[in-house]
Amino acid sequence: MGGGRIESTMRFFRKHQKTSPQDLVVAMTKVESGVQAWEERFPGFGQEHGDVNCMAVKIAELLLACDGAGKGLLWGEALAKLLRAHRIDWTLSGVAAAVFSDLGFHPRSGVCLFQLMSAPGAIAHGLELANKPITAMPYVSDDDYVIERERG
Amino acid sequence: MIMLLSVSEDSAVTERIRYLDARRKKIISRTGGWIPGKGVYSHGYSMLDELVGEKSYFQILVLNATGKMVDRALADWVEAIYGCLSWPDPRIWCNQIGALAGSARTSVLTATAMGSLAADSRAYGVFPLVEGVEFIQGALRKHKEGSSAQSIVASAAGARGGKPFIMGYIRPIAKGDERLEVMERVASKLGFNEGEHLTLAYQIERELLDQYDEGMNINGYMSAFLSDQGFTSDEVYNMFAMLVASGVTACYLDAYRQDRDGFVPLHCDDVEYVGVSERPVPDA
Repeated sequence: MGGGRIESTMRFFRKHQKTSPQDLVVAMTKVESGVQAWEERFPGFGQEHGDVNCMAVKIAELLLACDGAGKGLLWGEALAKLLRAHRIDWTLSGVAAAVFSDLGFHPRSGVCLFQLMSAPGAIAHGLELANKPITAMPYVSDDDYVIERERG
Repeated sequence: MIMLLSVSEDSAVTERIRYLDARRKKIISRTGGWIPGKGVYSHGYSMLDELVGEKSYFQILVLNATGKMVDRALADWVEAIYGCLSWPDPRIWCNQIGALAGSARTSVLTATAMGSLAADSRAYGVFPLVEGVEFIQGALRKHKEGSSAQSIVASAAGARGGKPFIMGYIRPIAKGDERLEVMERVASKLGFNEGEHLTLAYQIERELLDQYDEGMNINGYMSAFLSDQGFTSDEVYNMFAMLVASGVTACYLDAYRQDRDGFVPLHCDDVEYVGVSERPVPDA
């Protein structure tokens, strides 16, 4: 997920958005099961923490309601509607990749754009802790730190 | 079209949530950690009792990267090849970032991290090792099934018969690779014999030299050597994550200790603009 998936996801949209999403899903249904296989087949769609990412779905919904919603985003939504039956839906990088494709960016430029857009969140966390002692960061207690692996 | 979630998909989600709940607010490590008052552990070894001062830094580095405790000779070989792959020359791409950072007066850590990231490139540095290892391991499988080195090179050349592109062979700027002889000497001094991957790599090189006057580069050599030592492509990638760091640091400091903005300064007219001409911004 994240920026690392943008390039492959934009290429996926470029390659498939003139084809029928239903045909793709039906073909996949015949050969594969399991979330991971579906995520690999449909970059930009998947699960996070065991279920769909509600925030990504909501962002897609807001963008789809805009006049400027492009062909990639509309095609992605048609695909997402079919994937929902398998508890798979838009990921954040999927929504970003669809929009970047619609705006005409090259897949490699899309990676850079995604990083720029993600940066403010990281900066906010950094600034929040900038003037606090190092102990202000949450520290998992020894009781909750479990070393599973024995000497191999 | 109405589709319902199958029972197996529903139970997979439930199972996933149960798994995540069991780990809630906990860290489960399969590597190790620091237990204050008791010790520090890496892959089952007590670092302070068994590793520090007893094993070399590169034995610990390989352990942390792969989970394998290699013997000292192999760790020394890894250390030697680190020395081959990080040079204090700012013309090398990752090092140039370090030098520019020095010229712009960033910190040494910022410069070194930025330069190291640049070595995660498709074309050079650490990432191509994955392809190099996968190539020679795949080539050996084909060789054991009957393919000759000649046919392996021919299949890489493709139908058009152009110069083959094989990761680990041919260099972008220079011909040959002066590091191979040094590393062959190091390997011999450390007591290593030539394994089957390396033997095949030399046969492939021979074909390339005969047909195209191109040889093996350091990627090809280390990919074959480390395959002979039983490492996977992922393990090799992990072992060399910060391979270029020290050369970047050297180039950062070289520029930092000289005048500010002094690294390859250019006049505006040294840049030849070949893009579209000046034009008005469209209204809509």
